[in-house]
Amino acid sequence: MIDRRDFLKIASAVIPTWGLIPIASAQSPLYTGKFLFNVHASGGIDASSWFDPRETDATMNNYAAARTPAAVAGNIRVAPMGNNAAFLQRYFQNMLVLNGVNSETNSHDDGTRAHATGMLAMGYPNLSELFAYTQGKNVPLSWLNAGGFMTSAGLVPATPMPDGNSFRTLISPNAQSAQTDFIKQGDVAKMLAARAERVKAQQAAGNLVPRSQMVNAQFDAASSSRAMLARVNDFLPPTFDNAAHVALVAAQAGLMTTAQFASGGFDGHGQLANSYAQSLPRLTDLVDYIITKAGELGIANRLVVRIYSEFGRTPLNNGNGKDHWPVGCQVIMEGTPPAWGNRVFGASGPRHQQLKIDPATGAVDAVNGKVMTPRHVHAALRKYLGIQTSDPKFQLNIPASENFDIFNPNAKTGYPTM
Amino acid sequence: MNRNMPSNVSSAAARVLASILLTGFLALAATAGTAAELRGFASLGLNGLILFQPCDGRKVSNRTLKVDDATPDTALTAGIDDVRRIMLESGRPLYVEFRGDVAGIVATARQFQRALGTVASCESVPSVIAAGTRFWAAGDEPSWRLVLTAGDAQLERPGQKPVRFPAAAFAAPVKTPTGRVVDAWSPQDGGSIRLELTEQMCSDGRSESAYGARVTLRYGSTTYEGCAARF
Repeated sequence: MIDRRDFLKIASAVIPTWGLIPIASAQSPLYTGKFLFNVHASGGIDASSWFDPRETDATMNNYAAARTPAAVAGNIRVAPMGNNAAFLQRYFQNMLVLNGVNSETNSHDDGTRAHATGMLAMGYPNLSELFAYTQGKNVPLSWLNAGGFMTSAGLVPATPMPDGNSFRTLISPNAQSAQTDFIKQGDVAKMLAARAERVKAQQAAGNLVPRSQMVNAQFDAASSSRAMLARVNDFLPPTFDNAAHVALVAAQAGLMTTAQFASGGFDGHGQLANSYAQSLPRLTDLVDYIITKAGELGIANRLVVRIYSEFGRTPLNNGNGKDHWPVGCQVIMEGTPPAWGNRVFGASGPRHQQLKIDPATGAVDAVNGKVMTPRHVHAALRKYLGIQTSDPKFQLNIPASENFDIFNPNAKTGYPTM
Repeated sequence: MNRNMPSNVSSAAARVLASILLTGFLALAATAGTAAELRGFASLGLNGLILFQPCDGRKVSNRTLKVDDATPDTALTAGIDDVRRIMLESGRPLYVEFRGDVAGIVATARQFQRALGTVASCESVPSVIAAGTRFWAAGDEPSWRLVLTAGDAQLERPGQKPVRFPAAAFAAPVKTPTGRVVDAWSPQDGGSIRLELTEQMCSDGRSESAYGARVTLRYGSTTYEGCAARF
């Protein structure tokens, strides 16, 4: 049997201590808003192997050399690699493609931080952290992290993603398996009731020393948190498919606001087409799973997915690979088609040179346009997600003239260089 | 240790054993190091210390050497810094190649050849530079490569016929204060090249690679820029 002490051990390993303290009341509301899934395509995904294809210049891609055209659905194009075409066909109405985003770095570490926080400078909160802090700091698994940038800015610590078994143990410490309990649930209920009565009696006596009072308070908080976590029992599947499934069940139960994943294999310095034949399907399969499963769980209408990477890549090098290049692309999706879907905002040149964009319309404007960077994308995301912060430490300091209106359904760039 | 052995005898035996082991270790290190071509993994210690674990065939050796960077303008250190700044998993040991001497546990680097952030093990080193290659330089945009083996030198460019040059032309370069210049003419394929090599750390800042020399190659009316890893 797992007792309170054991439960607290498990909880402290999976849930940060702060997660127990603020929810002293089991009446804390469950989270019912949008949830954000950040997916980091780790290694620096090549834009022209993704949603900024180049189909005629043989120095850019093997598929261009073979004269294979890009796949098209709606207003969006994608490189004919991996399962990209099927992914686009299925989700083009759900997605906004941001092309020509300048990471301002060729460094993996700096690019990871810039796209996670919006800033190259250190100390800014990850979008996941800011989202968890503003939307659900009182839920116990607010920011689940299965990869990517997880350095906290001090707002909310990330909770390492538990695997299915750990998650089940956390939710139901008495469960030996999906079907069997260690001891009869009725006996557990009696024992918990007896404990609660004892604590109540101790408190009523009014003669506890401060240390005992503190222990009782912690016990009460842990019990309340347990009660909250136990609500997940209503949604627990017999088995978990993967980490994304765990996150979605936590979201369904109202205990999570944001989850973060990394899908690697995009640092293709040599023979890029070969490595991307593995890594691209892995990425699209993950996102496809998240959206499909969210639909099955009835929560697709609350789902926002962002797919990003450290930077883009150069034309093909001597080894048929591609090196680091600051200008790249990212994708924002929702579980159900949003008004702002089926669009491309921003663009890069024929060899992914930087282009300047009119922030209001999305049109290429070499004279008065602005360079779109991660902080511009983050400013727009913060506004769209309702997570702007008034804390001066975390301001992105975007001038009004550089507010890229990326979620405006009428602002679009398309593919001007194709 | 034999608990019945008198302590003075046992300590003397231990000193002899330690001496034998140390002598053997130093001999092994010196033997391995005199090969001049060193390749393996470098880690950064405190105060700029570079620790080096040589590759022993396809595996990393258990030996750790301290590197004294005597390359021009400390190109080895500069190359390590440059690659580490942008590489994936930047905290792990970095694959490097250099020419140098080993004395005891100190490897003195005389010529930095290359550092590759994309190599994670001795067996995964790309085979683009064959054993015995005497000169190797390459660049991108446009892509080119100049390789000198025991036979001849060859300029390779994608989609174009290779151009061959006699190896003898590289045997007596004109020395300059920072490097050397080679002029060569191709009797078989026609055309001439001028190769200017400057021994300094060379990196494009995007390929997770750094090299020991900067190269400018003129062939016909085209100028090619790149870096050299054998020179």
